[in-house]
Amino acid sequence: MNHFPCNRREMLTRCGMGMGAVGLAPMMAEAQSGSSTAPLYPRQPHHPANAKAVIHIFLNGGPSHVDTFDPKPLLKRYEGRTLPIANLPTERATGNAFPSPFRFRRYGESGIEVSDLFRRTAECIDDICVVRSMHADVPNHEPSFLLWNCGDARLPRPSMGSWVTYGLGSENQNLPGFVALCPNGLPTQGVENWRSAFLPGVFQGAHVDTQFQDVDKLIENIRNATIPAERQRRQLDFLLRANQLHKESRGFAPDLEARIQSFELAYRMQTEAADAFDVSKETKQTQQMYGESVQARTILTARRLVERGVRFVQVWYSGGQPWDNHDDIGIHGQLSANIDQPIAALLKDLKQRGLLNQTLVLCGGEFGRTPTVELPRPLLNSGKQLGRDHNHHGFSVWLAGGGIKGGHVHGATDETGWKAVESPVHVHDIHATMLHLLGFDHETFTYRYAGRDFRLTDVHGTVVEELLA
Amino acid sequence: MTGDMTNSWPVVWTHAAGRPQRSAPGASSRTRLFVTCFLIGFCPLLSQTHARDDALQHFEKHVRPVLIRNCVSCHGPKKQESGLRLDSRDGALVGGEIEGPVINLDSPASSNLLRAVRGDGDIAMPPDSKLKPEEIRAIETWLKAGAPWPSDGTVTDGPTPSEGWKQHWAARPVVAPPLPAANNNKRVFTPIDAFILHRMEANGLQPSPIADARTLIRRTHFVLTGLPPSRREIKDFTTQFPANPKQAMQRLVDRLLDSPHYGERWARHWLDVARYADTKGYVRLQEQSNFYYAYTYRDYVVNSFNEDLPYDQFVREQLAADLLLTDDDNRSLAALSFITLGRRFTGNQHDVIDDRIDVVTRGLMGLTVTCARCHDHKFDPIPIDDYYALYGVFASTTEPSDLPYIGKDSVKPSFRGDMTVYREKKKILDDQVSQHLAAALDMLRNDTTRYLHGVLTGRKEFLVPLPAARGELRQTFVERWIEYLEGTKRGDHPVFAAWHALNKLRKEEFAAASNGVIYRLAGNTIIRDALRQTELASMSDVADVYGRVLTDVHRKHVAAGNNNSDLKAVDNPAEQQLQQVLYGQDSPFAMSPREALDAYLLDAEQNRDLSQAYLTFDGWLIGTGQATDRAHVLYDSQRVHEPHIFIRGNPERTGRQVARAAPRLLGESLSAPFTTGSGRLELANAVVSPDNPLTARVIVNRVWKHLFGTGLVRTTSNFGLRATPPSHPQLLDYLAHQFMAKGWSLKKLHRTILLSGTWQQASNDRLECRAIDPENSLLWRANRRRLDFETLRDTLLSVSGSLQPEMGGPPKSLTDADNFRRTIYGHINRSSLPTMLPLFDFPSPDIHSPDRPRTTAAQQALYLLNNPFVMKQANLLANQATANGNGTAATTKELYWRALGRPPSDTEVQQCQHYFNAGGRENELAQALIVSNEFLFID
Repeated sequence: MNHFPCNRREMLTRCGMGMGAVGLAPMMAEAQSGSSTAPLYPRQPHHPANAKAVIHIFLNGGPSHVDTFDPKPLLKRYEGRTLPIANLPTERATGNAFPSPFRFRRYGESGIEVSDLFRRTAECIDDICVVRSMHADVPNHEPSFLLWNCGDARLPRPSMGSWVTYGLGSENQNLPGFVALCPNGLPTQGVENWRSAFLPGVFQGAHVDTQFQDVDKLIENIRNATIPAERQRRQLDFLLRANQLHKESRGFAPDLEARIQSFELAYRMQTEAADAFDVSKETKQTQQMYGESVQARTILTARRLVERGVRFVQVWYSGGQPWDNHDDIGIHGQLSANIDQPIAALLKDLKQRGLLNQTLVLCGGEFGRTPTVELPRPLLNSGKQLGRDHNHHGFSVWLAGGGIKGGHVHGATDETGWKAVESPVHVHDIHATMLHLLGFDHETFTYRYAGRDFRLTDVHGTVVEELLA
Repeated sequence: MTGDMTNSWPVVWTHAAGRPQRSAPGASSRTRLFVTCFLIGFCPLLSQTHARDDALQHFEKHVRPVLIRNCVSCHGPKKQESGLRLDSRDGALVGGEIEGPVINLDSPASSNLLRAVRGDGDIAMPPDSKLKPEEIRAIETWLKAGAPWPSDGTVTDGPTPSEGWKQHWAARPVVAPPLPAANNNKRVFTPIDAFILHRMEANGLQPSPIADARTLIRRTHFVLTGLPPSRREIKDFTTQFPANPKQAMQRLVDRLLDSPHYGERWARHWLDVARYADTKGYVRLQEQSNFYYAYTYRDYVVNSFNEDLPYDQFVREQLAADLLLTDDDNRSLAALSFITLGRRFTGNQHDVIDDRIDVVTRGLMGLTVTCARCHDHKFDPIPIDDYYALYGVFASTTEPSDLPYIGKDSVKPSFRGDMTVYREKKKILDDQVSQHLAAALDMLRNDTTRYLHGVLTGRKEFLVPLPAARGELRQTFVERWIEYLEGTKRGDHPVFAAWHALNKLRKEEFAAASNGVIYRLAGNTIIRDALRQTELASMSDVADVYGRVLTDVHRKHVAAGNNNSDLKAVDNPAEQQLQQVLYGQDSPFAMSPREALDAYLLDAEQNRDLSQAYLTFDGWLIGTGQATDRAHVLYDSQRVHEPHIFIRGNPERTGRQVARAAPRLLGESLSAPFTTGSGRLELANAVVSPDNPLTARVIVNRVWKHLFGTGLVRTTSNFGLRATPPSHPQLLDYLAHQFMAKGWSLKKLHRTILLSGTWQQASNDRLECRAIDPENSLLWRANRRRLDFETLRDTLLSVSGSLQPEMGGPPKSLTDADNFRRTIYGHINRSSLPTMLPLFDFPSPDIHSPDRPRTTAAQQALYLLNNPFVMKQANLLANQATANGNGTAATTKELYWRALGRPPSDTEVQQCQHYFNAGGRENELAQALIVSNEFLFID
């Protein structure tokens, strides 16, 4: 038995790290090869900041602002008639004024008007800052998805989750630092929405299809299908000894060391990740608060992840672009019914747990919709004439937590809802503001690639001070 | 663990260097500098100290504040409208892209700055308000005093980029340096060692001992072929090496360079440079998203490496193979995919060209030319003009819709499978095609009037044609009409001579003079009569007449039952001439279905259906594996593009015209304007000219990087002024010089390097050396390296005995658990890479990739522990090892030999015995070995 001089605990200690250090152990620097192997270790930003994590709820497809957060009574007055200003160019032709079929009411102390589509979310309006003067660049989904998520409509740039994880690392080394939760397949533009592009691949978002509940299907390679845990532990102990023997004759070798640790982390991750994604571990009360839809499960998962130190969680409504209701805006009602309650639950839950102050919640779509009705076109519409076309000239998003001013409305569209006219906020500005809240100066938060320093905001973006608490 | 490296900000990983380092972000820090300068300008105390004479004081008090208040927000650090900056004297002297210098020192009163603020020139500034008279006077006074401007730091210290470039190590001509002296003579195996030892000795270092034979054969195998040596090969080499190391190494290197696996391994390195993928990424609506024949490029690269195609020719073919063909063997056409296989950016042609400029300049010459898309390069002497000089080259090319067949002897297509099925499928496609095309052309002919009006409106800049709704005017077809009419100017065209004659008339004289023109005309009688019967006030009326006449002919043609587009003999010669316009071979309507599809001439719906039809057919054809190869080529356009710069990169704002040419920093002779076609061949020749100081240096450095783990120059695709200087500049020059002198042979380069003592060193740590050179940039030992994903996967397949040896051909999915081919033959979908690829640092194929990051992450371990593919290889390996059933000791021995290429030590045999005794299984043990550090790392 001389060949088994010590147990695993001693072995790991001899490897240079105590067991206690393993969980948080940074992947050690590969001094020799010159590449960083501690990419997810937590790092400090430029300046102190409240927000430590981001939950980005993306209502993909383009939710209508005039039916949700931006009431436009003028549309009722012009119902069925042309608006006093000319329709702006969008993807397809639109016609007369189309008032919202949904009722707006005032909520909270701030008295901000929200439609019935988000009446539960509206209960938290005093924690929410609604930006009613958003604008983007083009009225098409694909470039607008990429603009929102990667800061550039066409060029292969890293996603904002990748940037944030690159900047801050992650608080939990046993889970990916950036997770993209999207039930029912991939959204438009697929994995490009959470790509790391020229940043190291470790910062890419880990896609999890939350239509599944079985952890094997949620996370790739999280469990061994044939070797049970106990046997695998024995296998890993063998591996650990083999690696240790290999390392002994080679002297100082942080690269070998880092990889030895990575297997121990992987082993722990199998348990931890399974736990993080298992929403059945929540109390009945919590589960009820969120509701039963797949979106409810997704948003509850997001909270569990953020609670465990995951840096950036994206919640996609669903695969494709479900909020793209060209023919029938009534479908917005079915969509919001699945996500209104979970969003409200998230905000309340985060607040209860003292997490809202350090978690920035951002919710919206890639653009809004026209205040005018979309005109039918062969092959494109189902024959109904009750929908709206895309509108990038003006739309709404909202933010909460993480240093955001609650109960506040910023900016406005014109009276028709066509265009952002008062204090317009571009997507780049939201990115700049988000980075600011996380402690970064978006102009100096750069990555050198191909001879140039790249930024999430490229050469654009201004921090919108009015949104800050 | 260097705490400050990971715990504090800012840490900027420089991708190219592949290491974390603190970096002063260039652009941003400059911005801060400028902002500081303005503040100084505002500060009276400071300005006093600057003001050594009255003029300067006048500037600070009366001029600078005016500029800052009124001009700098648009012409300063944040914005440079029309490229003009008014926050420094240099900025004003260089001026803007439209009006040039705004200060005229010879004639201050006529300075454009003064004219603009006065509003008496073409441009009135500021745009929304006018300066006060006293402010204008102050500017005038200042200009007349010679426009003095205090030195304020906005001018960079040190030499300008152009001056810096003259002294730059990468810009100097490549000449053979003298061999330096080294004391440790017996370690000079090849001249390379002299360079390495010289620097090492100067730093008080000695090289590491030569590695042992097993380490050497493993290292050489992996580095040259990406596969492990066999047991036989290890045994032979470990016997031969101690007896005659030099000869044994020589034989080993020769054998591996002759192996076809060499090409497979080194092609993959090149595919990183070439941003290779089998799909287009984000495409415009309804464009199909596959590069079906991308694999022919991959195979071309593999073959080129295996055949040791001289690198200069390799580069020439990748830029201009179509212009170099000499016989019927057109296989080299596949090389052109180096240009075409990039992303498609929704069809935004400017971005497509940008990507091509990038892969050519960064990939081949280590120049970051695309930095100059919006403005002059900040650090290198690459003006914006140079970017658009190259833009013009690629804008003068087109990609044919019908990809050419490629082959050794024949350029004819063939199908080796079941011809009955082929004909059946082809007929379905052809029927759909002709049906859609006929409908589309019918519509376009009926729309002739509108298109002729479109011709009169003239060319419109448009980025890409998009699918149009029924009845929408297609700009691409207006273009066709314009080109067709251009062609009818020569001689007396029977139908359009009248059009051209009338089109020459000035607007004012049109009504009066048109009659005269018409009555003098001969030519087509139907047109002539119709023109005579109409009151002609302008060309618009003429277009109406032509449109009506041609549409009538078409209607009659169709009414007579001619549903197709064929010419039909008619008695009336005038009608026959008109038919020629509508249905003739040179008619604007004569086009292949693919052309119609590419130009979006069909309706959106037709377009979608037809794209789908092609997709189905092409997909089926490739799927059979029986189709003749094709290549994604590009050719020179008929009309070359004379490029203008785009001001601030904006295609809607064109500035001065530039000639198509190579970047001027290559010197006058290499950057002379191109004269033939697009200039691609001239560009290729400039890139590989022996006078080009960059190309040879860049490629030998890439080779060095792959052999040693790091390059002599760490920023392998940036050899500009901001690049990391080479660790051994003379060695770099020596290698580059030898490389060119020996006919650009990569295999010879490999031999020179691999037979050196430097390459053959052991990799073990030596504390005393690490204290002096922790990064091993002086190469006092070999760098320990890690298998990249491809080598890891290939090695798993190899040790499990399941690697399929077939080379080349269409790709296969890497997520298919039964795909046992080498990883280079995997399908690369750039919009959706299988997750394990980025996980193991496979670079994004969206852009040229100079280097791969090297990360260690728990998810990698999860993949190796739990992924079914890895499990399967472990099982196969265990099955092989236990095949003879000789008990656990024999199994252990087999497993170690197969997985690690060595017998187990006594200790290890006992450890394994213990593992089996405790109930461990062979496949689990096999898996532990193939995920172990010894398996993954190369000493």
